Amino acid sequence: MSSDQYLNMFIDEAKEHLQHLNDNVMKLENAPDNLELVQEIFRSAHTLKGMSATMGYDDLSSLTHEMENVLDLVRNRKIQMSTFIFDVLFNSLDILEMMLSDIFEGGTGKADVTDIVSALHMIVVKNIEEAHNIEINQGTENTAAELDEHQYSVLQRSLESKQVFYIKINIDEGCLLKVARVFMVTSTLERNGEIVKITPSTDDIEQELINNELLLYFISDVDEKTLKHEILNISEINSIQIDVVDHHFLEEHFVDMQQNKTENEEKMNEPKKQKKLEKQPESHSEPEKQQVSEKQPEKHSEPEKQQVSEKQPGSHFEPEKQKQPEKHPEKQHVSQKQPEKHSQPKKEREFKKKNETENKLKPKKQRVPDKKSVKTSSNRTIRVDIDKLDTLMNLFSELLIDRVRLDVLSSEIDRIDLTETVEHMSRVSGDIQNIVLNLRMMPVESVFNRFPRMVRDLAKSLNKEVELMISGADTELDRNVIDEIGDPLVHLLRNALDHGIETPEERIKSGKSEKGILYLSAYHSGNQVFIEIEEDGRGIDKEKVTNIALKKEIISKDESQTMTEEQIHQLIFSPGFSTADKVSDISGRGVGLDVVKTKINSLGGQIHIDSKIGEGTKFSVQLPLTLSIIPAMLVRQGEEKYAIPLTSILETDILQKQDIKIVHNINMIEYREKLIPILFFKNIYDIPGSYDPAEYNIVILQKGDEKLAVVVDEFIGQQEIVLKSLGNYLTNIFAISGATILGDGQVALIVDPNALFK
Amino acid sequence: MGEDLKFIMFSLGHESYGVDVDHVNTIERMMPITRVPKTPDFVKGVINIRGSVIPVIDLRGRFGLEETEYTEQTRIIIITINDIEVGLIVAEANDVFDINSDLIEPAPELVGGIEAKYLQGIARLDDQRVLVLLNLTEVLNKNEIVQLEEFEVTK
Repeated sequence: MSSDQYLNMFIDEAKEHLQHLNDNVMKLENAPDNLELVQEIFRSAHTLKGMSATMGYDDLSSLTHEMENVLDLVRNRKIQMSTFIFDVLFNSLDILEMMLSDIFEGGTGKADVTDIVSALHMIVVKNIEEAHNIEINQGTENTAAELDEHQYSVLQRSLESKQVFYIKINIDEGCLLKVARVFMVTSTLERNGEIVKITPSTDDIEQELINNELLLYFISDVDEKTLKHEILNISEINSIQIDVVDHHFLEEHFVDMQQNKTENEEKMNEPKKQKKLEKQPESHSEPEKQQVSEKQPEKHSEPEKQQVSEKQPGSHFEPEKQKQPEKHPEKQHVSQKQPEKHSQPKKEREFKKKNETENKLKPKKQRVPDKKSVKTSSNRTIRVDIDKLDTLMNLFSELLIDRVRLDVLSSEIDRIDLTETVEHMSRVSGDIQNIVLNLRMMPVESVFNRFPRMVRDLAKSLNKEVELMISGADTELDRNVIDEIGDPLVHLLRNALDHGIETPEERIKSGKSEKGILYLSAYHSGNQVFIEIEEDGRGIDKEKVTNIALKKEIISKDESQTMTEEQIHQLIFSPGFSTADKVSDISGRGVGLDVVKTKINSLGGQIHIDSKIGEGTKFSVQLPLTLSIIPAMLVRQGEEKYAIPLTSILETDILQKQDIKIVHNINMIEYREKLIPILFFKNIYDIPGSYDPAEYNIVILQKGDEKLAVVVDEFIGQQEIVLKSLGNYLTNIFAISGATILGDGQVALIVDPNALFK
Repeated sequence: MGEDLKFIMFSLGHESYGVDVDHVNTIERMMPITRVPKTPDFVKGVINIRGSVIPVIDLRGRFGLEETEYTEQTRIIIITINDIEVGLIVAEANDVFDINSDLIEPAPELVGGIEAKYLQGIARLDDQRVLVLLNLTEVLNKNEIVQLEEFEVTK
């Protein structure tokens, strides 16, 4: 049970990260120099890696690990992004997606990642060699918090009376507000003693130039265990390592640092020495470690492992640390890379020295994404199971019914205080209704966001140049509609790419720019949501469509003469229709568009086509805002009440009995100079009753261009109704789409007007 | 010694029947039912049980017995089986009975006019009463509804 819960969470989050990765890699493709994006990509990849390792999906994590290595080089400007790298990255993302859907379907998420991993590895190795020299030059000044003379003497003196600690704190990489965490750490410490030296420096911290590691010299009376406990209480702190400092340690360290500086100046190019130096300060502190009992860090790869075991469980980032030292402990270039990776601030400072201009840009650049993340973290959300929302909705609709009853009762009893209470309750429940309905709304973004990638891949495989422009991604739709609308939209987009937009050559010939433009937009209008897919391609050739329809016997010769433009366009939705001369992988098999239409109709929506030959085509999909509450007209026939969705009603009218004409044995009436069929409600649903007035109440229903009239006994009125299904026992009932519960607690059936058009 | 099973006992007139208590959600008094057109006769319509719309079938009608008038004792037993939630109209609903599985015998061909395939078995109680145990899966078999519908169309 509990592992299932984690699994769902894992899948949800992993999907999000993958989406994020896809989006950002796409963006990066257009702006390869944007290091901010690389940072973001790196972060997502890293989180994904941590998550999958925690869940035990090794293939997932090893693949992301390699991706991360590549990205790391990119963000440190060691390699330039190239088409090859992009392709490999996209490939990796596809494989990740595959594995994830395997996991989702209950699989193990195993996949053969060796090829792609070695491809990624190639990128890393090849470039590391190239970057070798640069890296060494940039070398590290230090790893530990170095001390100046003043600090040294302060610490020396404090050793007489108090304890001095050398503290190494590791902040969670996923932490969004590192500055805040650092602040929490320092303030916690300051309550317990005095911070003598902090690395990165306070200036750097304020500029948000921090990586994940924080090094401190700290004087305190408090013992090490309490300190450790207090700091680990701060969230997003991965690990803490506290070493007790004595004279010996200080001396070594101080001297080291001096040496380090001189050596750095003199022998910048000798990597081994530096490596040694990095290790030195820590390895000298070993004697004290023994006192400190539980841990004896500083022995290169061991300390990290040690930390792992001490760390709180549940930290997502452990596996990486475990892996890195294990994986490449001896490889010269990798171990050089490592310290740098862990102590990035220094690197950034290096940049500062090296390149003034660049540096000026850098802190700013860095701060932008951080601010963004501040914003996202303040946008607080929780995940709720959709079933819970359904239950809430059900309970709420019961409440609505009771409210209507109370209304009736209070007007009967007619006591002012009761009436007032009921009125107040009505207002509150109205507000709740809005919220409950809104809870189920989601931006179409969640459907749209997979399209850029899809369009890119498709365009590539079709050798077309296409720019996808999306607007209105924040338009909200009911969750149920969102779940269903994805596939139809994919079909339409594929169709637009394959049949609509021409190849670059064709486009140039017809005087267009070689890049085709595909607009995808969504917006609200009234109670409907419109989603439009528009391209500036070749447009629908009406003649061709008519000919194919004739050939495939979808229409007759006579029909083809009288068809309107819209009707001809709608022909492409006929089953088995395809204008493609050749069948391609993407579309043209004649399956698809008819399915699209059926799906959209089943969602209570419609689809229209606008097309001009040579200029392009626009598909507009019209959908109901929500499937759970709809406006309807309540009608009575005999003793039964039915609800007719308002979206299908054109108008209501009164008709004289004698105006009904019989044409070919069908009852017809004249409506706006046209003959339309007229049906009797009591016949449609076999409703008993003999009431037969001289004047009929009629409802004019429409479906697309078709209209028909239905005779009912009485109109009760318009009302927002809550849609309920009839359950699994009664399915496929003729012309009934569901049921709703009326104010008196009775069930009324909902008419499916589309079924009446035959 | 077999295990004790719990059954809700109800009657459809003369005989006593039982359904496994695990399948029973609630027992309701008779209430207004909204007719659903174009369904078999034994489907009486749908009711509102605390916000859910649930179909109701007359069990006598379902077994092809003559349907009787509803009385004060008439109850609707709401059951769920295989994701199907349905109300069964019965003449009377009584207590929960513990029946040892050893006491359950296979059903004879026809009990009180009900075919054996709808029955899980029969149990003889201590006081000589016979309890007919229903096989709800078969009672709610939808394929059979489809056949019945076709039958009605052709007739």
